[in-house]
Amino acid sequence: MFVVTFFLLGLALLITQTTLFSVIPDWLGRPDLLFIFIVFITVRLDAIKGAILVLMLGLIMDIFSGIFMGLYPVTNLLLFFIVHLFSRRFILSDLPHQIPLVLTCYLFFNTMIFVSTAMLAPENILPWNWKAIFFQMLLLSILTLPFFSLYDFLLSLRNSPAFFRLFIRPQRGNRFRE
Amino acid sequence: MPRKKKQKLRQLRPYILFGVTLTAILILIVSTVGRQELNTPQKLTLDLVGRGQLILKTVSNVFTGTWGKYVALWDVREENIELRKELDTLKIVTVEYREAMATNVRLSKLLRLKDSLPPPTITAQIIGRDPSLWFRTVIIDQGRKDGVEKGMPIITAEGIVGQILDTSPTFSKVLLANDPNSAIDVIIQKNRSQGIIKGVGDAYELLYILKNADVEKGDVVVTSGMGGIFPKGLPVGTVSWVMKSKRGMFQKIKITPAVDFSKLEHLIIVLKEKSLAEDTFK
Repeated sequence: MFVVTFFLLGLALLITQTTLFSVIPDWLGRPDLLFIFIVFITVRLDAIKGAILVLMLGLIMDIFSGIFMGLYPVTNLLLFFIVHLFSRRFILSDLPHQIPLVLTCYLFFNTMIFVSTAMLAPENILPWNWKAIFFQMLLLSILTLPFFSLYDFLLSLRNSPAFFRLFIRPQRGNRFRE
Repeated sequence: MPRKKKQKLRQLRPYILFGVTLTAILILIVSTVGRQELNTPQKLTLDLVGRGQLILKTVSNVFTGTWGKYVALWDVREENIELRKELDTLKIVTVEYREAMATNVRLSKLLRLKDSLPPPTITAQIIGRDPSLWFRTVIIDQGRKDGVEKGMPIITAEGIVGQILDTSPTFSKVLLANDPNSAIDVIIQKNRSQGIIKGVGDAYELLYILKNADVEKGDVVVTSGMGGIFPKGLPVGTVSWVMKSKRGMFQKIKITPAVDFSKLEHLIIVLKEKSLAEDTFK
């Protein structure tokens, strides 16, 4: 049931970014906390749960960002499967690799958005803004470690009995029969 | 059927169910890629999440409002003196305008012009902004039940802001004029040269102005009324950069928007009986 909890957390991050963060002045920057969360899901959760979560969050992001539908779900899923594939062969989720991982994913994600929109509307090519991208990458590199630790803590709560009792109904019958 | 096979089938059932569901979702996504319209579940989600945005925006307004009022007190004396001076100047201007209006009414009667009533408007508050670096859209707290339709123009007292991209019963999504996917018909007020502005992030690019047109830095650009979306004569911005390259027929012109998009809070929606913009988006 923690998938639902994580989905609600992602939704809360999206709402915060679209409302409270818009008050922050431009020079201070608006960190993309939802993106850190998506990368976290990508490296920490198993294939099925992770894919469902990034897909659902992508569908919601579609409504609140951009004008083309399907852009975020497809990009999120692609990012998820590529990182998941690499994380089987390489250790990507360890502490020293978290910042480079988030930054690489961010560049890939933005490239995908840029290429997809250029294909969907070739007459309206979006301006590639290195300055804004580097600034966002700087913010992400500062915030990745604390937020990965926070999400790790939240993920560890799923094994806590008190947390379980809140969200999971007790299973009846012989569960070891099968 | 042998028991072992039955058991295996039972074990596989959730995986098959998951596979079928995932395939259906993927087909749904692929079929909607590139569309610019929200479907019914998305509209419902916009309504649901929009309420969350509205609550959070109201809370943040309370805090920023209190802080803003405190900050406003800092320079109130100097501002008061400045405003009194401005008021004196404007009183003289008002007298001149009144005289001009009286002349206008008299001449209009003489020419038997029909009265053109301004279209009805409603105000809306921005409750959410696009968090991405790429797109310029906002969510507002007025929707279909308030009479808002797709394609309706959005303005402020300073000038044009954008147009309605999609609506849900309670909320609407607005495409700002500085988004690269926005295109608006305009004219240069001085020489009536027609062109199209496109968003390039923080500014506009004015396209299709011929090289022989006399355009200078500081020229005012207003809406042309062509295309039937924006009313004629609304301020768009001022020319900030002009370049006549050797190649091509047209000039390269950049426009500074009349509206500060980073400080937008309340907007005016110009309601229409029938939206002409639907054809534009189709």
